[in-house]
Amino acid sequence: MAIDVNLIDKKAVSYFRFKRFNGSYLVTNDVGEYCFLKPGWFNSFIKGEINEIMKQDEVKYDELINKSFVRNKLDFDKLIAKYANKHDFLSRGTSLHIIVVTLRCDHKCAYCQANSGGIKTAGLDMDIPTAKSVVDKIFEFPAPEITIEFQGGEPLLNFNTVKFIIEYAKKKNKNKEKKLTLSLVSNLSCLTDEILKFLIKNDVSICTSLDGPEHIHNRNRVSLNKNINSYRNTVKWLRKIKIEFEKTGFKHRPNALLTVTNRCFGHSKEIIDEYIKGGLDCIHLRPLSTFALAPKADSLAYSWGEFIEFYKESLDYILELNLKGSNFYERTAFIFLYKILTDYDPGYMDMRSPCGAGIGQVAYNYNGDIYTCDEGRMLSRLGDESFKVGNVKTDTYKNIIEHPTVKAMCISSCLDNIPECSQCVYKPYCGVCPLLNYTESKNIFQPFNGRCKINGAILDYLFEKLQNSQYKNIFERWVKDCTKGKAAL
Amino acid sequence: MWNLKFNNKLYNRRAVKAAVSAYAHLAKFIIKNTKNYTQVEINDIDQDFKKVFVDEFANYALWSNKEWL
Amino acid sequence: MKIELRTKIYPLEAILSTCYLFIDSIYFFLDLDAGKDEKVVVSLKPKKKLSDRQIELLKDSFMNELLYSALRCIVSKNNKKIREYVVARALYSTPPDSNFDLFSSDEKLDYRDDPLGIAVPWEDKYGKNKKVKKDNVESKV
Repeated sequence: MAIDVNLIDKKAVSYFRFKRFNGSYLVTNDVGEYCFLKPGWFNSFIKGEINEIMKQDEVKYDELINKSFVRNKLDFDKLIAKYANKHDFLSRGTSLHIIVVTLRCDHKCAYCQANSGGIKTAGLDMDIPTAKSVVDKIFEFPAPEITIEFQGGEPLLNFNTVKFIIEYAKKKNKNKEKKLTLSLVSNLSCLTDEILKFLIKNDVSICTSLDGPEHIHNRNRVSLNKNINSYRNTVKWLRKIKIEFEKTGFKHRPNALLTVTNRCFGHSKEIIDEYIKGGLDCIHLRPLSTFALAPKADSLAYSWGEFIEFYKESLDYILELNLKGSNFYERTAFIFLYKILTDYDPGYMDMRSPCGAGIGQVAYNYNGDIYTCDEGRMLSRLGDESFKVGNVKTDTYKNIIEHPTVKAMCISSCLDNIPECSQCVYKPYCGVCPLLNYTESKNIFQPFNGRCKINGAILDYLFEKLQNSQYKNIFERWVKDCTKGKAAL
Repeated sequence: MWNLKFNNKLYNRRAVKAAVSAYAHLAKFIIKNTKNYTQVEINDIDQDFKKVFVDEFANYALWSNKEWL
Repeated sequence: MKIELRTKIYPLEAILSTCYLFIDSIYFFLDLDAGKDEKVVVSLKPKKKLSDRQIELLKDSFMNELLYSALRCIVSKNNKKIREYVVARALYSTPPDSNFDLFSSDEKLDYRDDPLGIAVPWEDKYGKNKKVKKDNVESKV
């Protein structure tokens, strides 16, 4: 059914974005509300003949009004409050501080983008004076909630600095009113009972990588220590951390991430079963990054279409498990669903407008250099310092936050500024990574890349499922459960 | 020799210049600005790209335009 | 293939947006017929060889998308002030000081002037013995 633009009732129709969706129209608005309209209703809607819809379906009529699609029935207070809530992350300030305590690593992962140095490489560890300066700098930021996340290389190779930072940060925080969260991202190869005890005592959440069953994990994630079987070691420690979570009051469930390579294709069920067996409550299916620096990364690569097929297959299986009573969920889906089904935004740095570079997160390299994000820091290993915004020893908080690169990242990731994104039906839920654009095309304003296609395809999939009440109930449960425990973010 | 006339209301002059810069290594360009048009004369197109060059060049100018929308 | 589009019906922005959607598969060249009834003349040339039927379908597809783009332009233009109002009210949660005119003075401000104190370090804002007036924005998490 063709639409006649001359018949649009300019006074009746509030702002909306739309697309054809399996014979209907999906409409969304600035506050992330959505609605499906049959073609006839869509035409009535744009012509302002909302009463025509009411005659046929009162529920749909109420839905359009309650979700702020009808201009002459807008509740402005409600709309403004919703918009404010959806953008609440803007007022949180730079809350995520990633500290790369060493670039040394004892694994040689096939897709690694950190370009780590070997275990014995000198000059790649953060020393204590630099660590102290990093913590002092962190506490200059005005954000009331701070997360310190340890990354590497393998951060436990420089455990002394990790320990120092935790203790010094806690000491500094005694006089502040900040909510301090600590997090460690590690391959767990250097974990010992003593270190685990320390981490638990200091309430440090632990995240690792688990690429699936042993034959996939060990092929992707090669331990340089021949005495350590990477898969078995990871699973062993995940089990121990889970026991602590269940029995001793340790607040943080163990977490793991998956980097999808072409080796995962055809094994989606095995991988998910492995996660469930390991006691994990979710999986994060992350596509291979285009700025993966490892020489073998090309042989693991795939098209965005292949990733989407794998993703859908995995999510179909997860939903099947949920229908049988499981609560297992997928993290990318969760992030999108949180935006779709609640009045809030999780503020996930990669998936917000503007992105978190500089204004939501910063990354500190082992030498004290500060970057807009961890990927910006990784790029520096290739000699590209485009995303460096200062150093802990020489730059004040003001220098850092006012750096032109921070501003450029903000402007280039604000979806309202990007012609293709500003009109996209999925704009309220999506985000771009200017750094990813830059690595692909040397232009931070280039959104039509694989990631755009992947996000679009995942959202298509989720909205299709949302039209089924069984799946919608599952998604609502995911969002409710995770909001309670704040486990997902 | 090819002559393309880009209407200034449809193609920002800077978009046309951006296209010329991007393709400068594959052909010789002469730009003439008139009141309503940016005229581009294209010569010595690289043999390997002759078939598609002008079309690709025009598309590039159109694409570059969006930065100045 | 040429299509003539009256700018009274299809705003230029809509025409350009539609071209961008198809730019991967079609070569475009646009010209303006600035007569009494201004028209944009869109020349389309598929990148791959297509049958006559396929060319017709492509043209229909282009025209459909053009209608959608035109709709988006109209909706966007008609709701511009409302959206600006909602965004301004939502993001500036504390009512602006009467000496600070939100809408007229921001053009004169340089971002370094920092009227909202974003670049003020934690210690200066919330250090010991400093009372802070908190915003009254409710946000449930």
